[in-house]
Amino acid sequence: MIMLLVSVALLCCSCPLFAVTFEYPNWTYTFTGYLKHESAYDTRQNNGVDANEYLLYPEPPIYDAQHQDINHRGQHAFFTLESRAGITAEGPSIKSYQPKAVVTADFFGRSFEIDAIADLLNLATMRYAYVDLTNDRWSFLCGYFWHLFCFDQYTPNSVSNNCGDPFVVDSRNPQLRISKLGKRSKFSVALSTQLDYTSDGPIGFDTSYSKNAIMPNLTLRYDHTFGTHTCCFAVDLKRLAPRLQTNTGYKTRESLMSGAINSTLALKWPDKVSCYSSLVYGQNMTNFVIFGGYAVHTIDPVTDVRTYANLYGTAVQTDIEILRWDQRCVPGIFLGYGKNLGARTSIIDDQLADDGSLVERRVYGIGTTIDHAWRIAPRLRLFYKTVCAGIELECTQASYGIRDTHAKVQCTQPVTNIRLLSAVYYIF
Amino acid sequence: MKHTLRIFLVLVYLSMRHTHATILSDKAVDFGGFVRHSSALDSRLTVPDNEGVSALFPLPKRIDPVGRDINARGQYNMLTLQTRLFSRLYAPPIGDARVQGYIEVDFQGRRNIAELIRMRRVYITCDYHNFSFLGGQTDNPFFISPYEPKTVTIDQGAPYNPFSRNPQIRFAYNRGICTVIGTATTQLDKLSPGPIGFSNTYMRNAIVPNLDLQVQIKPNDQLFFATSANYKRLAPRIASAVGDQIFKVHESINSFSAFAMGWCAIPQRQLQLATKIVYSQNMCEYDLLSGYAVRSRDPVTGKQIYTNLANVACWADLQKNVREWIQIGCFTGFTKNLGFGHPVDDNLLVDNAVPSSLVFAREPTVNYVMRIMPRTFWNIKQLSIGAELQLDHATFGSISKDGTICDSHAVNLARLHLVLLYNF
Repeated sequence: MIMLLVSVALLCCSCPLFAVTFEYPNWTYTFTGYLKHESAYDTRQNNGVDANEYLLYPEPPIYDAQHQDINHRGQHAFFTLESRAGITAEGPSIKSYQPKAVVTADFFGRSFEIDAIADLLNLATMRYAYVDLTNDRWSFLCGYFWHLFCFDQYTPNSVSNNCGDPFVVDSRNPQLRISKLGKRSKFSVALSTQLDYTSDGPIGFDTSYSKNAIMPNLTLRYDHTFGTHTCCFAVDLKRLAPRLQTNTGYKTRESLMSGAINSTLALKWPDKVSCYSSLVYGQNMTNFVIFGGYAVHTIDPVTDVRTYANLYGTAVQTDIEILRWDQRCVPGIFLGYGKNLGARTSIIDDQLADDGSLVERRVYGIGTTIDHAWRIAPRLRLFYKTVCAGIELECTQASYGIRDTHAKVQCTQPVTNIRLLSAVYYIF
Repeated sequence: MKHTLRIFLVLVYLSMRHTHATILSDKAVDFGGFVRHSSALDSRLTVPDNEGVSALFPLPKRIDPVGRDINARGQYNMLTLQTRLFSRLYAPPIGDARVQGYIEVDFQGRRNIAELIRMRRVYITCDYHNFSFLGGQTDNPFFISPYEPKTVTIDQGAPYNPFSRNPQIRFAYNRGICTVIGTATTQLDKLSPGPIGFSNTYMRNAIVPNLDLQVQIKPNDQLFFATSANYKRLAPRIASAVGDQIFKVHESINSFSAFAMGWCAIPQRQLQLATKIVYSQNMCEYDLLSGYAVRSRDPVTGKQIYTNLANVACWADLQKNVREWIQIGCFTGFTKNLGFGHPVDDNLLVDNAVPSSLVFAREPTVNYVMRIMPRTFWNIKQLSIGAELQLDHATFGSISKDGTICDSHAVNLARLHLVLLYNF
């Protein structure tokens, strides 16, 4: 999706038909966007966001009295939620810095809550709102944009809106970012908080854990370019405060520090082939849509004050695209693998009643009952002037099991979903 | 030719402003907006609003079993929700009447659902000689935009300053230095509280819109005075339940509010001073601390009689342009609970205090709140950087039968607010 947007932006720049530009003395306004209609057929019930337009992984099996899997049931839907429009305003330079403001909206409504509330879909939503000041040595960015830990220029160019999630880091955040630009390198530092992509916790997915931790999310990143190829390396440090008050009414100062690393190698031979690969490893990466999270480690029997353990996760992916044929016919394939690595220390699992119903969650995150998952997704996109048509076959398998005392998943059983996705874009 | 000249004049006017115009058919349109990135560090939990866009006042103490205050906990957050886009449409004149349309949106969503595009102002104005008409949604009549505090925080002085936007129709007549304005408003975004929570059904069921009569006096460009009287009627319920029976009831509450403000500019010293005093009954939807309460209840039909919770708020704001590109200012505010218009019946009291469930206000246990808030703005061309230190002192207690607060305790809040704003 991100690459698609980049492609769209590049196409918009290269073709005067695409963007509507107004120019005034010292100011340039550009209106861009696209309409996307997609049709998705699934062989199974799935866990996703925005009415499953944004697909993550298949739902676990639920067996009825005759041992038939209730979730082994297909779905079909049309979506236009990804359609978007935006404005880019470029004003007069401020000293040596060239300022640029970007505001873009889509129609996802309030998203990233698993099982999003259906009636909040289809509402215009902020996608980007940021200011960028750049000269030949420094770049400053503030506002709502892709997280620095996310290599937004090198994520898979899939037809699906998920762009490889949950095998690729994905997050947009309010942030302050400073970059030092070199000839072939760029070093960036960012402070960010959470808004749309949130961490999980005792009250569900919410921004309060990050806000109450006081410390913003700190990210460092280094990009190096050699020829037409790029490699990037990023480190992220985050602090969460899961609760301010215990279940027995005591004030508590619980907190959890988590770290993660991400790297990518983007190989690109212009007009021939592009190959983007990434590897991410870390703790508690729920807000980046990567398997893992955190869990209760100890509980004080009197005050109910708790300590927490990070759940580790890792994911690797490769996306290959053939850019021949004047880039009018672009075949590609995405390969992804993600694994839940559990905790380094013991955890206290969810509290269940005698009948097996959930009393209290104590393990927070996504895919915490999945040992590993993989995806293979071949695709083909065809471009003609302002219209693009794409088709993709997305096969995702997740191995569900039972968590042990270290949150590692045992006794796994794989379930597979195949999504046939077709989409038509009109780019303006 | 005359028509072309008008469009040309509009474009000349627009080119002098910080927005940009284009011509669509025979209409002139200008558009603009800003990207606003704000970050706030709080020393204490505050009255929550939309993701903490603004901090109205600190939360009261919440004591745990060993006497520690749970709400004495800091927070940090960054937001870009106040980013805004607007467009103004200059329609061809209708006879001697000049007609304009205005649309403005931001991303604050509704209440705690942030990021959604929200209509902020949408209205049509029509100016005809000394008369003008406005229809649509814009600032409430107690908020006169050019003369309000230029704070870094987006709420411009709430809860000391009435802050909301409402659907309305407004007529104004100007004669010399004096302008008389009559306004009728209803509620949409900011709502009154009541038995079913915050809703606009109370005003809709009351049938009568919120009515306001205002007089503005502007002797010259350096002086401005305004005063206003406001009447509002709410119908909290149309039915009551007593046991298994439901009774139709005609409940209503009438509320009266007023304000007076003054503004002056001293160009020689690059100073601007503004001040306002507001007496309010039941103006919770304007982010003020007043509201209403159940005064008595009929034991047979369940019909309730209500009483206003009154409040007085005042503020002063001073701003000085130190250099062409740097401004400093300070906002000070004070607001106090004045109690109920009539005492609550003894049979509704619990432990000699009025239970919070009978009082409909943003925070009925507030006795008084005061604020001092110094700020600075640096303007570098179209880029502005703002910094503000908000220091709040609030007292909370239990509600006595006359609505005054007893057994109060004090809490303090310090908020450091930094903003980067890019106008386009």
